[in-house]
Amino acid sequence: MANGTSNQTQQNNAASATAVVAGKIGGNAGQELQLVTFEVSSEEFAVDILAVQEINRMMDLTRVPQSPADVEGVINLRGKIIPVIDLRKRFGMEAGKRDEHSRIIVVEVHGRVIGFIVDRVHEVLRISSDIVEPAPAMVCSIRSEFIAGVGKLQDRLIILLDIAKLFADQASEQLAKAA
Amino acid sequence: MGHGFDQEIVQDFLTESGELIDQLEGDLVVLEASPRDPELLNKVFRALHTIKGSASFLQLTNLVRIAHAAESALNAARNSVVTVDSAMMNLLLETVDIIKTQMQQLGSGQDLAEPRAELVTMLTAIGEGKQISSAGPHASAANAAPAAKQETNAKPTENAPTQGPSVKKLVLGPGKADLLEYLVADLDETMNKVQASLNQLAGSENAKGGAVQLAETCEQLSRCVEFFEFAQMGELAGAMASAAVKLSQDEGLVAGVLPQLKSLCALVTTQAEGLKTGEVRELAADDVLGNLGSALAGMAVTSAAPSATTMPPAPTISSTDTPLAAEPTDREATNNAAKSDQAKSVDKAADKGGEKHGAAGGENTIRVEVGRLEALMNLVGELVLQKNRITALTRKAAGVREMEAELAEAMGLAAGSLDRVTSDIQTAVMRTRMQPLDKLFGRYPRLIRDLASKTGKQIQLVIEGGDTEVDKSVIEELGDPLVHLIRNSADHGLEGPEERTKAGKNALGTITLRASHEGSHVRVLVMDDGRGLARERIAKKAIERGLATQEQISAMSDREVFNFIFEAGFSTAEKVSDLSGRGVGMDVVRTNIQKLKGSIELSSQAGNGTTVAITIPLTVAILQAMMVGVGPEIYAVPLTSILEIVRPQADQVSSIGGHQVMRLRDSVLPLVSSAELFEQPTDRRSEQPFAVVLQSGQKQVGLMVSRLIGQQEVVIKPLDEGERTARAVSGATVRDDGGVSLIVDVEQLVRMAQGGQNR
Repeated sequence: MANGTSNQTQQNNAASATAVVAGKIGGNAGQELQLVTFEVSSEEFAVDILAVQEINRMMDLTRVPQSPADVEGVINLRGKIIPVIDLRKRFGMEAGKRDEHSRIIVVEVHGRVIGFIVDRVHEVLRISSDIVEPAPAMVCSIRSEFIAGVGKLQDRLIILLDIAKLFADQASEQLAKAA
Repeated sequence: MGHGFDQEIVQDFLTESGELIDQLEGDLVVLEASPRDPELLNKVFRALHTIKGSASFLQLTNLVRIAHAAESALNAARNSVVTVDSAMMNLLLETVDIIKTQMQQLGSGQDLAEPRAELVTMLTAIGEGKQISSAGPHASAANAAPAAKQETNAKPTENAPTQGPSVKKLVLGPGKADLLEYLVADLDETMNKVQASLNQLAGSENAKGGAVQLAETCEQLSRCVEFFEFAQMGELAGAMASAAVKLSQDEGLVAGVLPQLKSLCALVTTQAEGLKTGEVRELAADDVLGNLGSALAGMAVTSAAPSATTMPPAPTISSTDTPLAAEPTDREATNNAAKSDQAKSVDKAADKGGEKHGAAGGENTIRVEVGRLEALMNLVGELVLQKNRITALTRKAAGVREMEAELAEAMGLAAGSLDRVTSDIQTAVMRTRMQPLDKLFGRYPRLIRDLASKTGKQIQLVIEGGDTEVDKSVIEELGDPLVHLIRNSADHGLEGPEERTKAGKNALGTITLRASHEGSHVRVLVMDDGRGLARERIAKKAIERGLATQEQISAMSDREVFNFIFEAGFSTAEKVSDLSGRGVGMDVVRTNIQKLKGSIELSSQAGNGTTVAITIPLTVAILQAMMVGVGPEIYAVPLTSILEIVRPQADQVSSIGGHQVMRLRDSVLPLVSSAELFEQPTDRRSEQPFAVVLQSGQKQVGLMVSRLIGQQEVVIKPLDEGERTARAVSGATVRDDGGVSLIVDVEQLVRMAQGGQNR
């Protein structure tokens, strides 16, 4: 736990640089959707850029005993302790290896700040809402209620996640577990 | 709610009057003990008067009505027409309760409840006494105010407002009556001076000189009339004085303020006229004062120096000076009291204009929202972390070979001073949140009074060390436990007067609250000189409830037996009273204290009383912790809970019913593996040679850990809500190196370990 600390400053710098780039692009709305796309288990997902607070490199996590299985631990986000969730576990996928591409995407959902781990972050993408369709029942390996829609690009499909549902569910499940 | 006032003004009113009413409540109880203390009477009267004044500005008619009635009653007491007895005190305290309720209602945006009509009638009746001195204005302030407003707005003339002054005959103590003629003779002269200054102020030349002169004269005037307890006249003169001080600093305001000053001058002149014939005229002046405040509101806030200090010492106060020389102390006291009161009422007037300005009477405080302080605290915590990183990086940089020695040294110096400045900031910010315990203790005399009347016992409360300062959050959390403890002492601890006399004790039972600092902790003792705890009854009850067996009890020390009363639902009281005895008290007390990372101890001697000692850290945000390693992970253990750390030898450890225990001197200590407790994956576990002996209540547990890292002061951070399900973890903290460590919840842990063992 203590070994990864020396280069944390660098990590943070890199992270905030990424966040700045993202922030510049985000701004106008309308028919155009601005998304952050990322990869989990070779599938491409996207979330609304407005929900994303920042994107950080992987850092040391502190495990919390008796927490739900998909909660990897907590991190120190500039003085605030936030939980970090492994999206692979959340999606019920097999555990993957963390490498230099792994990222923690920090989002704010229902006033909670939550981080989730993805395999790699691709890009900030603008697409027209016209090409987004409701999710077909069997489009991919994850539960359909997490999916806000599917963006059909020329060469590929992008799964738009409904992070409110993705993590609201998280909270209620935990409550149920606590009860 | 139809008041239509700025929420901010309402909030100011609530904060300010809230403090006043707390103060008032405490003072009332003291007053009951010494009902003729003139200073105290004045203080109480003024507090109520200020509240009433602000309330009438906000047009809170229901609040004004009750405050006014109580004020009248107090005024009668002030004039020695009636004496404050316990019947009257009950009415006054009920008034306080009602005003508190009304203020809560105001805060939550509801309409204010009407005061009990009977209460108002009774208070008013007291106020009228038997004599002519019906205290205070009869016309309710709310009715009178619009009338005055019309007048002053229409033509701020120098003539006295003719309508509706409530006139009462002058009632003065014998010493003062003789002096009155000096005052009256002097008043004419003074008012002429005031008039002249006003004219000078109006003229374009040397307006500043006029203002200074006016300030001086009015200050003298207000001191003088305050001595004679002409409250309103003093208030008016005081308002003029403080306005004049401001004018002397900012002449730009003259145009706006002058008409108001003239109106005030006219009012004071009318009152002075009245005094000649022995009448005290109460005039509706709230609006003029309000307008004055608004007019002053245009000015800069910053350098408003306290009027009392900028004023040159008055060389010739008035002709009353000479005859007064015989009783200098009395005069001094009155003067001081007058001064501070005046400052307050002037403040009030300016606040009504919607502006906060530096207090006119030398009170160097400002109100700050707690949220802002908390935000500041968080930022400072962050700053400390970043500082630690800089320090670490500097150390690392110094080791780099290519680094110039000079540069490395400079960096080291900079990091060093950053370190000092940061810790100074941290201390300073921490101190902004400190408050004296008196703030809390001040509530209890009232409680004692109520308890005494309910139980029919004679109780006195002794408070020591009320100036001990602790963090605001500690004060908040400590309130309820102390109420429980005091109730317990009053209800169960202390005997009735007869029983006490029989036992050879003073019939008057004493409950002592004593606070003191002990390092980074504060210790609060709640002591009574009552009958003490009955070991036999507690033991019997404990056996009944299956908490222990007869054999276990016989082996226990008194202290261990007494600790049963901290168990949930434990009560030995034969009958449940509405004060206590339901057995919900002590476990709540203990839980609350433990929430504060504090400890509670109980000692008692049959016949000599019970002492409960509470030890809590000065602040809840920072914790002294022992950092321990569990495999590769690091956890923080609150230092207060650690008794000792031992390295158990193999022959000391044995297993009872599948649970590890160790023999520690004469007792058997259950051991808990922290790796198991924290569900560490087996591949990360390592040997755990150390046992950290933890104590919660009277129970002890040894927590096995792999490494001892050292003592550290850590800032407690809450875990995200979703993580609270985790047991035996009370929060998290960020270490020096930026990593996160979880804080061990000792109370939970001990409970879990004990539960496991008993089953």
